[in-house]
Amino acid sequence: MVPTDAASLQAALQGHADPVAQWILGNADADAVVSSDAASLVEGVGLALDCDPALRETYVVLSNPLAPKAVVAHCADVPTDASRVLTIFEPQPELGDLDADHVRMAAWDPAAERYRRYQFAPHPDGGLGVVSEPEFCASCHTFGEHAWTPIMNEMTNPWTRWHTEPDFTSLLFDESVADPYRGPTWDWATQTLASASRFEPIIRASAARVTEATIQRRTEPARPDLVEALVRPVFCDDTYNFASESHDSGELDMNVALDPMIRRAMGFADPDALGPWAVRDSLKLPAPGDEASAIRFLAVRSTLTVEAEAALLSRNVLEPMDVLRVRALDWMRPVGSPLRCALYEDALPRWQPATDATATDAARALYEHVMAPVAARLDDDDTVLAIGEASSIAELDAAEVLTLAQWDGAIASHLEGLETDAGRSRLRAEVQARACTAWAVDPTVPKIPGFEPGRCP
Amino acid sequence: MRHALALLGTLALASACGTSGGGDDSPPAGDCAGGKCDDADGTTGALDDASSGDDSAESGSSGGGSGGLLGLCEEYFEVDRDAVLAACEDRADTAFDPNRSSFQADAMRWSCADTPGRESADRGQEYCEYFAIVDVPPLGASVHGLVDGQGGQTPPAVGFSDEALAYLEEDPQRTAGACVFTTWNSDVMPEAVDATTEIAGVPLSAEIFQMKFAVNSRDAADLLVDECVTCPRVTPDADDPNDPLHDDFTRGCFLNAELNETPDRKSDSILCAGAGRLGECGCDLAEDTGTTLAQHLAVAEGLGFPLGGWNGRQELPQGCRYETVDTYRHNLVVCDVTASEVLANAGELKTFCNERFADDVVVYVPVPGDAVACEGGKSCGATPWMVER
Repeated sequence: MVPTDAASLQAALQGHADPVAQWILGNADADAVVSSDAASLVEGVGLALDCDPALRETYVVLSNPLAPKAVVAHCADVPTDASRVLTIFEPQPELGDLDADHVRMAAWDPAAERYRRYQFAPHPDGGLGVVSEPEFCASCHTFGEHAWTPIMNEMTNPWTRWHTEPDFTSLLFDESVADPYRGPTWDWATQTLASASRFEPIIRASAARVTEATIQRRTEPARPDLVEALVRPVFCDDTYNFASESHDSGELDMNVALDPMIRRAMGFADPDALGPWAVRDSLKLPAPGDEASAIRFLAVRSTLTVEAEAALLSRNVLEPMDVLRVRALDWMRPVGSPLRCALYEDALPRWQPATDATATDAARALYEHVMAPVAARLDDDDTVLAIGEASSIAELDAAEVLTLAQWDGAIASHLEGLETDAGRSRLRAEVQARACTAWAVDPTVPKIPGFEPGRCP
Repeated sequence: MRHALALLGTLALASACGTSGGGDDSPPAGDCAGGKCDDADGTTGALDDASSGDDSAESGSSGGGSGGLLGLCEEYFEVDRDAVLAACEDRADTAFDPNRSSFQADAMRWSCADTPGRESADRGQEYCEYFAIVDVPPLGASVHGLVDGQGGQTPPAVGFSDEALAYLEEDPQRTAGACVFTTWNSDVMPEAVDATTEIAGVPLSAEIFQMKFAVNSRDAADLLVDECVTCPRVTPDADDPNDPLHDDFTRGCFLNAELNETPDRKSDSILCAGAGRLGECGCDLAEDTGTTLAQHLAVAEGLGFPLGGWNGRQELPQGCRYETVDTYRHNLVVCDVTASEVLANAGELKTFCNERFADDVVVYVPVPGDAVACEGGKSCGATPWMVER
């Protein structure tokens, strides 16, 4: 229910320091009518952000089910500025257009250090009212211990199902699917249509805001929820991104095969141990024979999770070898490892933060508590307990102690093996397997060609 | 006559190099900096005797590239045909990527990003070098991943004091550094370099912002184009329609491999393919301008190849801008890095620059279509440098 008087609106926005809240309070009338229409709303917020209207951009994705969703960003030439406010238009097939009556906005609140969400909806007196922080947004955008974050399923070229023209040729973006939604709102929103390749840095900037807000709380007194927010992403994947082969080139983001934190942490721990694979950002598979053989939407570790772990590293909450010792477990499975998450979830019930500890110290202690079974097998500071594929803690017995140089050699062999026809088949099979894992925890999993939820364990 | 003019142009340029700056102390065109060259595997190896064309076939490494001590087109390396064809196919995948096509009506182009597998200290082989700057007031400005052209580089990683960390965390969205991309040729010095100009806290200077690899030079570009326009190339088997050398791109890429042993470079392969078609189609400058076609393509009047983006010659990626060197506006691109990004990538800033920006910062070789006249041929078309598949 939208507020219908100023007092209710004030109460709903109490303490909100984001630019959208400020604009709402400055423009709403006595009956809490916020704006006459969506266009005025978006344009008004853009001006309030001090953004040149010419730098407003719209990005379109074929979302679930396959229907176009439009995202509008202001000040799009500077990704960090653009990440302050994002506006979303959902498709409305019965209207034959995008839905101008139920516009959503996410706005960064610098005081609360989190995103505030707003749902604009028809006001009983005409025009648009607003609901603050509606619950339905949380189901798709809140993952495990992560705060609410804007999401983009595929954040690397070819940004499958996103409109990427004119910069790039779109992949699996069927113009005919978008046709039924082209009415006045669509025409207005897409007069600033831009390539999704320009949206990617904005989403990365959004993720950086959320990550920074979390990591900076490490100096606060330890509370279980805060400590878990810091540590859980190291072990468990509650959010996923996806990567696809670039058209029929055979080129596939390296993250499908290897966790990017392996290279980052190894670069800190022992740069000399890094082989040539460390400077590559993509695999080169033999070209697919047909679309059915192409790799589409293979789940990878999410940007949010990777950056959360990188933040622990850069702030010295964890050491490079700490990160590598986790990543070495089930290392051929860069995302959704049942082993890594089982270690964490098995240990968590038996852990309590020490009294008067900071979140940093408690995070460190929780890490050590979780990794105790692994530490018991290691005598040297510069070795890891490595196993390529494992699903349970019991399988740790089969893991072997390796130096970083030895692990580097194994990584190189693994990657070489993937760049073959057999490797392509293996990765194709992984699309289904990882989709099942992602689907179990992340409701934003895209519609993946060939994915059969019925075949999930 | 055209070939003779081209050869004279090359010799004239070689002698003029000393006065235009940088040439006197530079290695001869086509030689490998510090005795290191690329081989077909993309690794570096020691330079053998420059005349040992036979040895290079056995060692699989080096050779000085043609033209160093010998005349144009006088030295061809023996190459592993299958390995070169495979490398050329990889280069073709890049050049004909529908999202980033290399052959345009008015230019040939490629990204600054290195081909996969290049070691950190060897990055920057595509007539474009890059490095990172971190500018944090307590620390001052520091340069990371700046190569010296001899196999060394400034530390790619950066560590932070508590004070620096506090500064960075105070406002994670503030600009705290930059990725710098430069096409300022290693053998060209402009009239003036304004040291009062600061880029991310670092004063503008040739020492920092000029390219360091000898192969990233006007001389090298001029010679490469000259060779590829002029030198005879292997002809395809007329009786085998499946011979890969029937393909225009592959033929040019293969020629580059035979002349320079660098099929792992996008720039050399793309330039040689386009220039090769200009040669095959009997192209030259339509009017006598005092420069050769090769010199014209190698940007005889400029600091180096201009930089741009995939969407247009002067449309840079988000967050990037041009910085001017003397009167040259398009040879330095600076892309802002936030405090958050500096923190997240402190261990490998140069890799961050490669992954975040290098693919979208594009080297352009302008082709003055209206100024080029071609004798033509059935397969040449009006714009033969627009190689097709």
